[in-house]
Amino acid sequence: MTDRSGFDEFVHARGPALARTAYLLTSDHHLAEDLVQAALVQAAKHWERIETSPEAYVRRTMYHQNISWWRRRKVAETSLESYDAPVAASDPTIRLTLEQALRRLTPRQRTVLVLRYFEDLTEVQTASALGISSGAVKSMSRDALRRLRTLAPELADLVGADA
Amino acid sequence: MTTQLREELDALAETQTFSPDPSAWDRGRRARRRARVGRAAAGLAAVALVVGAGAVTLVPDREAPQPAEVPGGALPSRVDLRDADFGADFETDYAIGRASVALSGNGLLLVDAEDGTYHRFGVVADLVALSPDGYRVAWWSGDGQDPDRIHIADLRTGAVTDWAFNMGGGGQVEALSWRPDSAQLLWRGRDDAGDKIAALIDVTGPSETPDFSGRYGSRGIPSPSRDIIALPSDGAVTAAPFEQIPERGSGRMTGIPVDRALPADLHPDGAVVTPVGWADEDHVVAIIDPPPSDVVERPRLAVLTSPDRPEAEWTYREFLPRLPPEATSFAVDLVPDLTGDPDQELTHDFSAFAAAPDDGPGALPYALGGLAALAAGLAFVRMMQKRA
Repeated sequence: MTDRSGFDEFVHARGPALARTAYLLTSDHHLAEDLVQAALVQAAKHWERIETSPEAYVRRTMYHQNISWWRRRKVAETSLESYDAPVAASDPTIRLTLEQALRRLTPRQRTVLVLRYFEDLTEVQTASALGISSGAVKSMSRDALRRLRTLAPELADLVGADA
Repeated sequence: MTTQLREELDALAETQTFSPDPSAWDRGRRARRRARVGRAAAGLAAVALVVGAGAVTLVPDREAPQPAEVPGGALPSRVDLRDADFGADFETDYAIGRASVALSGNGLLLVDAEDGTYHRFGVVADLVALSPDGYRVAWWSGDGQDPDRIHIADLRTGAVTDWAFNMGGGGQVEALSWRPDSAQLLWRGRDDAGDKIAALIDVTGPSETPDFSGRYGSRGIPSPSRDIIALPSDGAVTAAPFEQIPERGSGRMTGIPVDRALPADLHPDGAVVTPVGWADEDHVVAIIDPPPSDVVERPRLAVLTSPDRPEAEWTYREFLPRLPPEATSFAVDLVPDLTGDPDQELTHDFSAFAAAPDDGPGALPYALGGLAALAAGLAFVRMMQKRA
């Protein structure tokens, strides 16, 4: 029962923050809920092993599970090239433009952006969380920002101008 | 820039609400108990096996039971990403020995050919190709740090070659495939100008033969003798497409399209056919992906006779069903020679132990002991299941 209460306490304290990250990772409210729940089920399964630092485990599971899910879904999706046209300026707010543009990044690019600019992780920490090299993080981060600028030129102030 | 971006991301994230699912703990614990029950059952089966093995060693002229591990390796009877632990750390040493399946999920996953375990590597991999013998794996990613490199790992030594393909010029890789000798890797794609290009990398050299475009086999997988090429289908088809290489001196510059009908009773609406290699000169292994229906819902592997064989010799066997889309590459040398027996096992169930051999009179006490141990184990498992 102590385990259960520790888990509940963790979910209560950190669930909302995990859900926010999940939304940025998936760009979809329903998928974000599913992603958090799937990661929490995994956490419950391995609770004895991770209870001293469950959040790191849950976050890492979310990062990897999301990309794994995307691999399953992408079979039915069209290629990214067809999405490279700038987002129609139908919505006046920068935030919604950013939301639309984020949806058109690859999950890996989105994950790197979320870790670097939302979670404030360093390149080294991001690389460690994703199990890839710092160079790959740097390169993906640069590509993601460049792609955001292509998709939504009006975000240039937000994501920086081309070097 | 980063502060502004963070503020906007913060605001976006705030739109997500969180409703805790009270069943998460119970579901996780049930999964844990199931896994423990499975492990306990496996342990008890091992005890029973040891008892049985004891009987076998004491009785002359008996064959030893088949161990859980398969020397030389085998294709697993199932490929399921749920068998991999996505929370675990990535491996860094590629010297894992022979692999049977390569999956390009997040990072690179390899299934161990001898014990069926999953190995995860933290490299970015959009395209993955496991050599037919299972001892080499190649991957490439346009997202990674080195999009102008194709990476090739030797699973015997763990050595990784970062090959600057297109003679160092790089480009966009669209397909990777191994030749049947497991020594030559073909990449196909486009150079920076967008022109189609293909080249053959000989990993034993290593060297690269560029300007492969236009030659036979830049698309598809040629048979070991290079007489015929298995081609990927363009959408769902009722016959698997091939291309026969014209004889020298025939004057013909292009391959001769031939096809090999899929069984209409199994796939009345056809299927997408993606060849993954040749099991031998006359049998190609392909992923058969039928349109979703109530009956079939996931791709599977099939071994089918090449259309250059007489139709009377044609065979068609499906195996390894319910493939996840990440499973794209297989060590086809592990497909056993077909015996014609429709019950022949083409894969190995790594989660189960082989049955003990037939009992001889002298082994009776040991076999009974094994059965008693097994019965006790089953009772224990049942008790744990009830608790679960």
